[in-house]
Amino acid sequence: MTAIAALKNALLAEIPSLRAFAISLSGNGDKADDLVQETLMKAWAAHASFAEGSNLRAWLFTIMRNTYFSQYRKARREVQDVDGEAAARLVSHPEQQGHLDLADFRIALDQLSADQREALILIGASGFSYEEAAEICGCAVGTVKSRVNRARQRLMQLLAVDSADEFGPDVAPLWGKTPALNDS
Amino acid sequence: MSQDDKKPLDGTGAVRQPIQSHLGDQLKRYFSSIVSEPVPDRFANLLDELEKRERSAAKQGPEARE
Repeated sequence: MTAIAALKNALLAEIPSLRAFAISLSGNGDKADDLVQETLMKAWAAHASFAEGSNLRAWLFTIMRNTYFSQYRKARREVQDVDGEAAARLVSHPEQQGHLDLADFRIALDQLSADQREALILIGASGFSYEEAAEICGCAVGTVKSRVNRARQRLMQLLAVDSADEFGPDVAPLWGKTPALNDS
Repeated sequence: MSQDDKKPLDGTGAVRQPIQSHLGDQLKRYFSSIVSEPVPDRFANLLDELEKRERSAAKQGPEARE
């Protein structure tokens, strides 16, 4: 296989993960796919700077998050109201106990700051180490740790988890009775 | 289990392990639900186009590349 074909195949294989990261970051399908496209184009143009044998996904995620934070973040603020409405819907269904579907989780995730969401996704979903995540984000390991911790606390508030008891091995009701969005 | 053990945050302010695990599971389910979505054709088309361009540039003169 030629180097070009190998590059193409390697990038193709990363697209599902890139899309998941893009959607997590930007919270918007069309914008997310634009972000994936831009990341692929930049990666293609810069592939000579990719160190053979290093982590391709980490390299691509770095390109993507830098692109997102330099260009897309401002645009995202314009749609924050939509997120607010979605959060209001989440609060208006306290009877929905014992079950939290992915759409609701998604709404809660979108309420996090972009920094916190990014750190949580890198560590909790993408399987990167704290060291790798710090490198991707261009910040200190301690910063990643504190962002992840704050992200968890915030999610817990948003999802109204009142007690560690609710997640004991034999306890049925998973979610608290009073969803709280008190510091939003 | 003492009352303190039932609080969602431990003494250091970290989210307790059972809640962390549950949030982690939700997060992984959320992420993998996107990963398993079908990929839009536009990305394969884009990479085909980039490959084609690179190959035709190479044909015009390998020394011009890199």
